[in-house]
Amino acid sequence: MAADRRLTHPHILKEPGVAISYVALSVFLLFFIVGPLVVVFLEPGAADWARVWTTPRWRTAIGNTLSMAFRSTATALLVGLVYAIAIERGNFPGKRIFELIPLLLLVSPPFVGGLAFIFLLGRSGLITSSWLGLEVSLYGRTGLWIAQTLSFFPVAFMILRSSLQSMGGTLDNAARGLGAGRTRVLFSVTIPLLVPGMLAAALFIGIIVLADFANPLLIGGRYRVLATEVFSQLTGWADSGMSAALGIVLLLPAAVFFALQQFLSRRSHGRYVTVGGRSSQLPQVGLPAPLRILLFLFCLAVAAYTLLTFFVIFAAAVVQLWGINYTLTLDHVRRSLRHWPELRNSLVFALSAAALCTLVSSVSAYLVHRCRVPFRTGLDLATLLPAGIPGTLYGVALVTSFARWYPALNGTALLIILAMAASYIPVGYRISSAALQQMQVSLDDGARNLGAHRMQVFRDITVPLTANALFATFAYAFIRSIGTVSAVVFLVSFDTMVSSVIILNLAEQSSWGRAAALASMLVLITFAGLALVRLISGTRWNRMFTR
Amino acid sequence: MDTSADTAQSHLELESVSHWYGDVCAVRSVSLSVRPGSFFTLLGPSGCGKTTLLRLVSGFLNPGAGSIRIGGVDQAGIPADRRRVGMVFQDYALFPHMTVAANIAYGLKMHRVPREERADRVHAVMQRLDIEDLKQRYPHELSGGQQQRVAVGRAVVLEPLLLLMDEPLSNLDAKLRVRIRTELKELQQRLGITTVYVTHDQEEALSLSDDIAVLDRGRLQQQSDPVTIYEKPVNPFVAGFVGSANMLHLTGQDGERRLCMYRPEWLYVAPTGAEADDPKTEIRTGTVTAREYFGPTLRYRVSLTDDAPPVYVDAPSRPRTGQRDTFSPGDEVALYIPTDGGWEIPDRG
Repeated sequence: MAADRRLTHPHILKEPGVAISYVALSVFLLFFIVGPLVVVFLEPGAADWARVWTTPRWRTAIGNTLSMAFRSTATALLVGLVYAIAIERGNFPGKRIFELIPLLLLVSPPFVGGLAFIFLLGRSGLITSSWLGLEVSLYGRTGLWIAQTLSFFPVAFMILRSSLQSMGGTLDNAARGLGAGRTRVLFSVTIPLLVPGMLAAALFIGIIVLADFANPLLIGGRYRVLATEVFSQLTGWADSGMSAALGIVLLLPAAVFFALQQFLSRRSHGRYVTVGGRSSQLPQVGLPAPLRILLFLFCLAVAAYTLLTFFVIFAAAVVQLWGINYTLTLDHVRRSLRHWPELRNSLVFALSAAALCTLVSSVSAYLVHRCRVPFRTGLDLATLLPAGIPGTLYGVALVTSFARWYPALNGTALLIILAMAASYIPVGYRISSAALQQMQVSLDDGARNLGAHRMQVFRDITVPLTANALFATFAYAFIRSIGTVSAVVFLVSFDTMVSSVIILNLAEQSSWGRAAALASMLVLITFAGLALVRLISGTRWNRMFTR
Repeated sequence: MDTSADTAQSHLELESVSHWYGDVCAVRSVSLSVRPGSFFTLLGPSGCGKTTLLRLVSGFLNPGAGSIRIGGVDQAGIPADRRRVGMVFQDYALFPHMTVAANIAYGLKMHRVPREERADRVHAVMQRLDIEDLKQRYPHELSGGQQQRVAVGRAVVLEPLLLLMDEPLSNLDAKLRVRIRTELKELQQRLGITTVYVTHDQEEALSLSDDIAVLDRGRLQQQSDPVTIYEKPVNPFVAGFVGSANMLHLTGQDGERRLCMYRPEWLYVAPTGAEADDPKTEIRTGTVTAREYFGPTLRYRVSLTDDAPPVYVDAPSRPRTGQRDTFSPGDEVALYIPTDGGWEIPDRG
């Protein structure tokens, strides 16, 4: 955030609207984001810290967490890279379908991949047992690795694909003109230019893998990682000190990734971005046929697995017992309707969280980018902070801090909505900031010159002109909130249970049919939300989800 | 709309105004006086502080020192939205989601003007600016010139004490720029509103303004009418910024050597050998080293025989009489310098 001269404005806090929203936003960020994190840092005592380093179980979990972060990130990045190159340079039919499939996975609730993994590659999985007749158990490290790779490659795909698109065909053609062969162009020009994109994607995925909760819970088995240990220490053993200590250990690598990400995105503007005048519409250099066929087959395999993911979840909901008895039945669907209260909670909480997230992120973006308020950098960082915080740690932080400050709030809808909203505020903030930066400052000045005070400018000019961004934020927050597990798993109570947590509970009890039925409903709601947004605003989703 | 004389024709005074961005001083102790009803231009290269001055007057910035008075009232502490200063932005800043009528009505709405009066005033302004037909259009459906008129209309409908314009012609293409320039001047005269105009284009400044203030690096260099600015610049910066300046050493009748500025069109060249003997003209011999063709005029670069810097001389490209020929690089010419026609720059910088 370069100091923008044009922002300079005196008396900014004398305007009641600005002052009130500034104070309200600061209080919100302080009490619900920064404060709980401070509390959770103070939670573990010296004894807890000593146990973290001396107990073999935790040492193993730390090692496993780091090991998975590197493995899964590397493979997800590789799959995403090849998939992106295939889509953008492979020049084969069905591109539109192939590019939609990873997007579906990206917006689905986080337990979808894990659940489908069990149905497809589990002990009585469709592929492993029924098709291949194998008697294997992939639960544990291998399974987790495969599941995370397949769950998170879409992130790499989205980021690298937009890099490839912005690269255009000019450089490829130039390299061809200088005498490089088609394959050579790919490896000597295209891929090296993707390096910054790959780095960004790697950090992004790294944070997600560290924080991943659903996959380890469903298929990690006895291969323990920190995200789930944080959970079991708090809920299983009621040991908040230990839970907090493990959460903080988990935060360290995540914070490093996050800091690197911020650093890179602020610095690398311009470097590697190709130098030149107006971008031209040169056709891209095609790849040699054998390579294209290989890429096509790769895409086909990945896309097929992804489609199977959704298929088995829908299918498992309507058969007696997946892997054993494939007789069709509506029992699971009927019985899952008993979970209507939880489903309703999910809907209500996710809608509220989406509204809260939109409000907070857009107001923060406006104050930071359009008003010269004090501590702008602090506000910017506090708003972006949750992006680097694993959901489980944030959940623990909310529970422990409100147990101290205001115990009556624990288990209420308020904390759940907060936890949901907070996780997606950074994304909303980035969407709003980008929209604001595209809007000329002179429009604000123009309205002010005509007699509008700041909040009138916000209402009459900023909001209408950034409506698409606000809508995108709302939809994104809703879609992600309705499926989230990690942040809310600590916060739900009997009255405020949500369906995503129920699905995990059902899976743990091996009630596969009901779990699948309920999961199908959430997936359908998610898809409906996505379709609605596409219909209404035509927002470029692929761009949105990679911010 | 009746822009009664007492409000529309206000006096703007700046007294020792300074402004800093952090440690960088953008405006240094500038004092200016803008006559009521006049068209006043702030002229200078980019970064000279002209836009900062405009933002100070409009209230988007507060001066670090000095005072700004509009119609005799000190503006300190009056926020931008209460200043009664209309502004036309470089990119016009029309609200893209509002129609032309809604754009013009917006300010009245913000000032809580009752609906009926609002409609009347919007109508009157649109009539005056001849944009009634555009009422229901959106800004992106307008041409550059139309957008500009809407921007002016949006500003003047509030009957401001002062109209500020920040390089409003810079987004138009060259041909249109000249046309709109004329329109703008006529409009200003019709409305009779005190106008402060910012530009870096000297031709624009000279042709539009009643008065010009030339700025450089945050300092006021000269404030005067266009003719004085062009013909009698106070220092080399102004001389060079508003046009081409030849600096020539002349010896006066008193025998004193003076350094005088000559605009290229104040000199002329002729073939050597037939010099007229005129006590008021000094003749020097030189060689044409370059010739630029501009259409109506030709510009010669003439190197004098001594080591002085080259002299630029403008001549009609097709002389009406056959007296003057055109010359080519390499030709030897006589340079005619009217001895009392130059301007001795007071401050040599």
